[in-house]
Amino acid sequence: MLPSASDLMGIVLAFAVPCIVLVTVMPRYISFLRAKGSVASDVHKPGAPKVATPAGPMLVLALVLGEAAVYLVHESTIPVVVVEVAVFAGAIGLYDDLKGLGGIVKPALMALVAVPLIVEQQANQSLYTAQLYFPFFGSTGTHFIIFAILIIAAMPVASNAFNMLDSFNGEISGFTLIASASLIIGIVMRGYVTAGFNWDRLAATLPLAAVALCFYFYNRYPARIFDGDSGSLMFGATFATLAILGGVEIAALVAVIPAVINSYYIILSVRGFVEHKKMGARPTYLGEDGKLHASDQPGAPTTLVRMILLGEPRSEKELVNFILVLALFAGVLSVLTSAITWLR
Amino acid sequence: MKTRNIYGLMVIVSVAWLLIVAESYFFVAVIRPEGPNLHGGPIPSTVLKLMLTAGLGLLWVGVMFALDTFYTRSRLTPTSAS
Repeated sequence: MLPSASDLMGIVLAFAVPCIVLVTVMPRYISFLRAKGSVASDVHKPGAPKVATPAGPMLVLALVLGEAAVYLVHESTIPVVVVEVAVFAGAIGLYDDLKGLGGIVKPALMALVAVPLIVEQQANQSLYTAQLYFPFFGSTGTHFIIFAILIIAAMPVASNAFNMLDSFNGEISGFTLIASASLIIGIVMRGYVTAGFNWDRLAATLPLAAVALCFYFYNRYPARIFDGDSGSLMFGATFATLAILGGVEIAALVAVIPAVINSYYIILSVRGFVEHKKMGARPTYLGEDGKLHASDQPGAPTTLVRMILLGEPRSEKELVNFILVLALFAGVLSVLTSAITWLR
Repeated sequence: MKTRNIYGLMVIVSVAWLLIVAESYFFVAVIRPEGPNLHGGPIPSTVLKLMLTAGLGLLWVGVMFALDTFYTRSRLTPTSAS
């Protein structure tokens, strides 16, 4: 089913509004944070320069205004749910940025972020279908309770996977952009083959991609601002929500395989949920050659970055480009997954 | 620019993806027909289906662990007598 003129207007506004907000406000917000002394050391560069942080509140604002544009065009519940999740996740992340949360408390709180999705489904049964669509082999039956349990589990997994990948300039913004682009393609494929598909599901996905794209220009090497946990947790929770609302959960899981593998290896190597500030050793160190090296300390966690750097030291810019190549590879597999799910 | 590590990681991502596709086949073709819907079926059938599904998750975790071990060892083992 093809989108109507009104659907197309929603799609354009959903992308344009967050971009306009970020491009207009972010430079002033960076100056504001620096003047206030809200900065963090960029430890992966010689001299550890100070960088403004956190961008999270501004990213949430841009996303909310993008979703508001979708709501004005479609008058749908979908953008409302996305806003609820993004604001809730952003608030937990901001508390973590300002006061700090424990390694267990953070995922526990992120599980609560799933509440709007579950409650709103009770009021509006068409919000999403409580079933998973698998590639090639069809779907599961409809099980609201089991699906609700999966949503509660997915929210901390996704948000913490994004959070754990957020270490280098442009890493999380580039990764989110690529992953959400894969999600958008999957939703377009689903919309194309599904009769009566509501294109507000696609429009509601665009603000996340727009925020990630515009933020990338401020966050890429050399970063002018860090997103903070308020940004990365919001990115992860919003991504999971959009995957559920779009009915493309399996393709979304494939798109974030690099982040899932990264967090799985970290949890396995440090034997549990340990806040990165409390880890015994860092996974990488800055060498005298100005390049990043994999740490050879026994207690250093295994991360995706450490695996990339094993025996091959790299500059930060080179390293992030490699991670984004890996994200692009997973994105291609995700699109392939959507194709074999919906276009078979 | 050295690219050996990125190819190794692409293999890990590909295996993770293939496992998701293959396990989804096992889930739909083998586990799902094992009994009626979870909320309508007897407890032994429900437990069996949940245990088989958990087994798929454990298989994914085990394979990823094995790949990490293999990848790390292959990168830390000297390949030439320099």
